[in-house]
Amino acid sequence: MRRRDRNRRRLRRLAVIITLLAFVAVATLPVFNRGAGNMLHNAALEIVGLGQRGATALFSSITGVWEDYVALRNVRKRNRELEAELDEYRRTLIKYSEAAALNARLKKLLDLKEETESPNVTARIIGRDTSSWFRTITVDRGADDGIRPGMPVITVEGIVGRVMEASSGISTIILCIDPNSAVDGLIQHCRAQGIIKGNGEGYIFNYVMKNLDVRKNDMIVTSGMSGVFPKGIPIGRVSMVSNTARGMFQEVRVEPAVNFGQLEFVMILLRENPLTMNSKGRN
Amino acid sequence: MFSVAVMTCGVFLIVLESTLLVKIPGWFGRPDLVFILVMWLALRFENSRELLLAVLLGLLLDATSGVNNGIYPAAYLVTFIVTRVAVANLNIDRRTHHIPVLVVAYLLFFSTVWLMSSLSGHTELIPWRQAVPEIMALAIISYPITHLFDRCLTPFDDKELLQRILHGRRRSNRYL
Repeated sequence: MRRRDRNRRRLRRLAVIITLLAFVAVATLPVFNRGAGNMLHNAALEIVGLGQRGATALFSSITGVWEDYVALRNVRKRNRELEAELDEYRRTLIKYSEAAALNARLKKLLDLKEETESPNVTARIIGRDTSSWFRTITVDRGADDGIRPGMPVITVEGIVGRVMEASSGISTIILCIDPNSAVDGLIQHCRAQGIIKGNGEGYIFNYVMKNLDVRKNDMIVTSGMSGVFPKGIPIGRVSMVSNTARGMFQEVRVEPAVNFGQLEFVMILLRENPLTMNSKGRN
Repeated sequence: MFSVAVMTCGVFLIVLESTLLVKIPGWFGRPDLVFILVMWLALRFENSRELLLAVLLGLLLDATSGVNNGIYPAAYLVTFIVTRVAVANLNIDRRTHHIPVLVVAYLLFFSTVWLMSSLSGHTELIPWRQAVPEIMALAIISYPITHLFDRCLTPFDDKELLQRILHGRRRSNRYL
């Protein structure tokens, strides 16, 4: 009797261990193929995404009512400011339309092919990474809208990140400020090229030779070399340059062009041949 | 029924964390509510079922957070087992020492994630000082949250009690 009990207990323990090992295998093996359509992950993403969508809609409607009330109080003053701003923009627009016309003529002369804009999808951010370890966001568009892993994500201000995983209606995006992210960049002023890496809060511009003249507030844009991001999209401005005695490269810190804390909507470029992301999400 | 209730609670906590709690500034400390749930499972129960639930919660968290898969289930697994073993072998009262155990377990969880992130090739790891506000927030919020779990989730583990709640049935012995 006692032996039977002991055997039963052993069997139960064995079953628990096997189940656990199976779970851990399911959980850890995809480390090497994230984004390859892990069904378990997609299901979890859909379940949590559904809740996130509802919660975001609820919170935004509550904050929307409050913000409308606050906005009404300063609307007259703001209106005057905006009118003045609009006048200035009109003047700038006239100046720029002249420049654009000149540019068009020059392009024609050089027989340059105009780049066609990629089709895109606008998505709303419904969730952010809960941990302080990673910088990812969840958006309310997925594979049904044509989104695939590896596609670039931008806003009007600049680059945001890349699609990491896409289930049918939800996608997760790795932000460019994540330490796992890397984007090829170019300093507009001196044309120095390098790799922009995230450091959690901002960027670090790597592999900039010491002999290059990099200054504070220099604009950095995408170089378009890797073929992921189109060329010329703002990345950020140089916030600090330091030349250490050792090594060939300068240490360049970059302030992102995008305010990641205030992102609400993003644009996903449905580029035809996005590079498939590898396990570490490198761009 | 208990497992379904715990998983539903887990989904709710993840939604809460990823939509509302992310608005709290980082220096203020964002408490990891799912970790509180995992530790509640580790300290209040003694079955192996809770270990499976902890791994499942980790998998759920993995889908919405992080870059490398498998970090959270593995970290929860390690923390859960070490906590259970420590509590069983040391002179620790599960209820009285719940918060100190939770704080120490969070340090272990943080170390595990840190180690796994560094092994998976992270070049920029978050500094250890980041753990301080998180631990503070966790210690402050864990008491009411744990109490809430005791109130809301424990009845699902008691079949008789659950049946009484659902069907309004009374016990045959009214003195019980």
